[in-house]
Amino acid sequence: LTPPYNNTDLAALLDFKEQVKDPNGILASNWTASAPFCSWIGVSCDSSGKWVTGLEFEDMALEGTISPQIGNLSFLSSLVLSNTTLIGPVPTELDRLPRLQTLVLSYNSLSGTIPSILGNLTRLESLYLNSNKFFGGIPQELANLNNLQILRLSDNDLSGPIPQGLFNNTPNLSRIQLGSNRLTGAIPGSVGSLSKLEMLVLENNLLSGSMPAAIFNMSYLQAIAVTRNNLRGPIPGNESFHLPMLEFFSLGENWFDGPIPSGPSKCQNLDLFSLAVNNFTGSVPSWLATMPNLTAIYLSTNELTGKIPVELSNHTGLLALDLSENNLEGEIPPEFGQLRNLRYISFANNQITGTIPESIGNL
Amino acid sequence: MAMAKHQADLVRCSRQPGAAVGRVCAAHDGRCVACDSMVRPAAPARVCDGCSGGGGGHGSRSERCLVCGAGAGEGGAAAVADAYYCRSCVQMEKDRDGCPAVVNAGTARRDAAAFFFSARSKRGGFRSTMA
Repeated sequence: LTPPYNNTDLAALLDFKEQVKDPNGILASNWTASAPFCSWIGVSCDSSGKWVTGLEFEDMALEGTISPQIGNLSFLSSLVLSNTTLIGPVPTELDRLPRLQTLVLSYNSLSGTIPSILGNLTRLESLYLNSNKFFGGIPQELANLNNLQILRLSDNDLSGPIPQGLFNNTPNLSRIQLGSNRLTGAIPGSVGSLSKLEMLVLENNLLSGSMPAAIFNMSYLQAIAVTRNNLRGPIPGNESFHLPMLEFFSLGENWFDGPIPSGPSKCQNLDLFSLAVNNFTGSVPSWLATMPNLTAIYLSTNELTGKIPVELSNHTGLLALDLSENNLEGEIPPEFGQLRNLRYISFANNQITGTIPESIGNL
Repeated sequence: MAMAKHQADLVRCSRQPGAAVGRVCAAHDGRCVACDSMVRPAAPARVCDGCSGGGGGHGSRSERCLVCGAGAGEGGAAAVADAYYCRSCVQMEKDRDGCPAVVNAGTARRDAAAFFFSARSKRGGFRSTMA
């Protein structure tokens, strides 16, 4: 028997087809009346075969614009148009998709502002708008997405502040990726209340102020990447640090200052530790040698003083060590020749004296 | 001193990558094309057809470093190794951010490459292996 159709969904799909150029002729050859629309490429339907629940294309050239009639696919739960060379705005008619859980429009040339109506999609779990040409601010209305797990807006031309209330009612967020924009202002303190957060990527923006202390006390956080901003202030001390799952700690190219605290020494999963190009003072911490999974230490271009810790030579898993552009003194410990896995080492532009140990030739 | 090392903003090609893997010069060999990390190469850095030598003004694949542009119509430097992304950048999905070739190779990165070759050429031996 022929599955029951609904003309509304069919009309919406046909208009979608009409609005894209389909340069490779895939829709032209596959989306035809000779087959039910539920079997068309990229289309999935509910169990009754009547309603479209998914429209999903990835890494396939479509070109053209997104049809506003997609808003008529009232049972749509997944809209994925990733790397499909689309242009134009995001249709505001998407606010007629109350069941939408996944919205992925990454890697296109979509433009305009991010529509505030996206805040009406309260069942949304994943919002990917990254790598497009969106400009303007992040809509405050996104704060209403209380089921959101992934927010990815990186690699656009967004400006203005991150709305301070953006994370006040999004307890399920596990990934925040807002890097490579022109965002200004402070990091919202409410980030620290996201108990399920695993990844915080805010790098390559114009953010200022200090890091909210609560960010350094998050049980599931695996990556902190705030490189290349205008952030300032010290890193919280030992008593405030609790990041047991942290693997990537990247605070480079900011204006952080003060001594490097011992708090990160409790991050036993730490793989990358980068504080390069800041204003950190004091000594290079010897506790870095006690981190079992640490492979890369980048502390270049700071105001660090004292001697190179000989303890680092015991950390044979180290692959990269950059202490250049500081005010370190003393000699290079000959024990560094033990670091047989080392791929990069630099002590350039310090106040180091003495000779280069012969053992360095073992590297 | 601390902020003197900020690099100029790099503009990446960002067009859709093709199948070709980008190439880098000796100065940038071993570094992640997205973050300069030197550890855990995880994925080849694929470039668009134009930057791989299929067209456009980016030079041919075998000559041009996609990070600093060295080798594009210049003497001396040339691409010698495949480009890659590191593990952390793959995890943060930077490997999907379009073609990573730098289209406005800044003085900072170019100077780094020039210094590298200048230092090496003083010893004589390295350059001869590039012949």
